[in-house]
Amino acid sequence: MKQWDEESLDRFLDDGLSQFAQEAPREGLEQRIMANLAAERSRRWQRWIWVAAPVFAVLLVAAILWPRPSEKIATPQTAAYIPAPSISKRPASAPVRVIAVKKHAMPRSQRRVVETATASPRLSTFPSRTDESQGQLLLRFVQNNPALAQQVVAEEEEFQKLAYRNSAPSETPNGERSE
Amino acid sequence: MAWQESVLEFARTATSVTIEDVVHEHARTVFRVAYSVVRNHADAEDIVQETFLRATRHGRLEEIENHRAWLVKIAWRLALDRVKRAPEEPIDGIASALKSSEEPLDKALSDRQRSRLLHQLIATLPADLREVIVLSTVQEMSSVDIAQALGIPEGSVRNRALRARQLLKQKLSVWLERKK
Repeated sequence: MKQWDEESLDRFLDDGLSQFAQEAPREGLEQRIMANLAAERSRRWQRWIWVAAPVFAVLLVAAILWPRPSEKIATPQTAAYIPAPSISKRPASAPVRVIAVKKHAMPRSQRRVVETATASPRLSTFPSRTDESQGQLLLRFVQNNPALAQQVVAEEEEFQKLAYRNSAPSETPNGERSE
Repeated sequence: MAWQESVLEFARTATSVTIEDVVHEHARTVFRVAYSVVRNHADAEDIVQETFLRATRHGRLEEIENHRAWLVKIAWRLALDRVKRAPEEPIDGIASALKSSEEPLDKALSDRQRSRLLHQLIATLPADLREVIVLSTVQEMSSVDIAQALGIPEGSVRNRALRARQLLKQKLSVWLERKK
């Protein structure tokens, strides 16, 4: 007769369950686990290199080929020709002042500096000179060349005197006109 | 001084836990848990390797309070996934061995045959009872560890283990009666 009573069943289960999971792994389980983890770390690094290398190469090429600010062509605004504002032309009746400059005691006719009241000719070089009034030009001339300016003034006064004498006939004490 | 003690306590708890420490302490337990489900060495070791791989990906091991329960939880899920795909092992030879033997039940079968029989019977249990009874067969697992691994209260672990054992006994008895 089979002994399958309660006691047998209990013993069967007790023994069976206590031994159910009591299998020992193969020797060296911990070493195999650590080796596998190390290999996984290595594989992870390799994966990153495969991803990072092309990205880095693209960035490097972009950095080399990207135009730098200094190489950029100047904007048209900075290089634009700024025309001098238009100045009304000298009226026809306006006299041309001729200022005689005597330099090194040379005759007046040999040395002349002519300045007109008209606008300066447009320069072909950049930047073009902005308009300055005749007075500012004269002021700059006097500031830069004081001695010469004094000489010019003296010559001008003498010229004015001569012009006045020539224009108004003089009378001799005898009442005779003289040329 | 109290502040010195608190500094020392902080230094002790803040010590980083290495994966090497965790492997040496819990590798065999994890293996047994895996084996209790898949019932063969090769699959059990695969599951152990995968369990520790996932553990390293987690990163900060010092944040885990109970490493054993945490690792068992991972291994348990991996083992269940593996078992779903595995075919059932036939136990017809066990019935014939019992018929031909005059020994008492607990001595009629070899350890291997007994394990196979129990494995088949446990597989027929409801899932909530099955997981508790299987984990309780791993000696290193206390009821607290099982409760944390399964995410259930400790009292539920003891109740379910008791119900599982009773049900196993009934099933074994029925199976033996059928095989007479």
